[in-house]
Amino acid sequence: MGPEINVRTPQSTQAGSVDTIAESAAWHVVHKRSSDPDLDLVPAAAQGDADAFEALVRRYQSRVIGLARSYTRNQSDAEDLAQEVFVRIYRSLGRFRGESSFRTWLYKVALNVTRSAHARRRRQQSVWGDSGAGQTDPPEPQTGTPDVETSLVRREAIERALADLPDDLREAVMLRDVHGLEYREIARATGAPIGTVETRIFRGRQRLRRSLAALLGDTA
Amino acid sequence: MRDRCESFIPLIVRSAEGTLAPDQRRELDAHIGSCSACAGAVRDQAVARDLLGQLELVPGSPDFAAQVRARIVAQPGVIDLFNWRSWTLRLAPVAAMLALLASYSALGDARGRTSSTIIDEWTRASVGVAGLLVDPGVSGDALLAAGLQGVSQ
Repeated sequence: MGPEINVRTPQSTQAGSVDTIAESAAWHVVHKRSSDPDLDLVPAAAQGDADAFEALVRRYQSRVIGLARSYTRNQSDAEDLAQEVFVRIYRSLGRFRGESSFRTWLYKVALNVTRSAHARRRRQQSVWGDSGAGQTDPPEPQTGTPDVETSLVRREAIERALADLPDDLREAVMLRDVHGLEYREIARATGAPIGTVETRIFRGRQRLRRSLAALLGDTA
Repeated sequence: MRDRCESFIPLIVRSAEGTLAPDQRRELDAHIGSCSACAGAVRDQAVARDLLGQLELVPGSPDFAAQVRARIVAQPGVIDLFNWRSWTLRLAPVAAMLALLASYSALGDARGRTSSTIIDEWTRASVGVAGLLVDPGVSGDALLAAGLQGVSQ
């Protein structure tokens, strides 16, 4: 099963003042050759249109929460962190120049916020010890059919193996194999050359394969 | 993995994704035919990618987007401070007024007023305009109109 495919639902921006029209025109000059599917919402959101920004949030919330969850392993903390990401994105929209797609820029901001939060939590834990906050979600109760239970066990094992990866390797494999980003998008979002991205993906997958050997029922 | 094999990493990672071009496929096949380590790596990459593909992105709470909206709406003044576009457009009428004032000062006007008189009149007018400047509900057009009205008096 591949990563989620975003459903593109273009929405027309409201007719606005000269300010909005001028800004929209500037945006379309920058992106006239671009196939960025978010151009229907980003200019309006940058002007403070809350409806447009909320639509962007709905479009990307599963991705951002999934990214945050790879650091927190706790759904509640992941959603809190994802909210921080979107607030930062809203405040930074004025600095988005369109040099990359909006999606790539969003991932770059999301990675910066999640990395900072993760580093902050590590520092706090090293000073104060683990207070118990931010614990991983408890295992899902085994109440489904055998196939469902197997699926949940597999998912938890995969998530645990991902969490054990170094941050740079985890980010690379998550962005490629779960989120479906292209190599150049990952390179832009992480600030690493494409060759480094390829190497990280290679090493991340190899480690996962070894970690999950027992799950796969072999000794590889 | 041997040093020479490092150069095949880009092909190996892409082989698991099924995105190799035919010539790349041939090149990789020729290598793994004589390199068991890379042949094993090709299999491992495909297995790992398949496992990761089983992870689904969770949409989050039903009211997640509404919660984000509530946070951004709660602090419009703070957000506007960081929105350089809103400040650039809001100050454009001020720049236009200053340009007009400079023109009046340089050329004088039909009523023979001096530049200092013009500045005094404009200062009194701009006090009213300043109040409009910080009002987020005032459009750029209204701000420009108020400023021009003050200059023309």
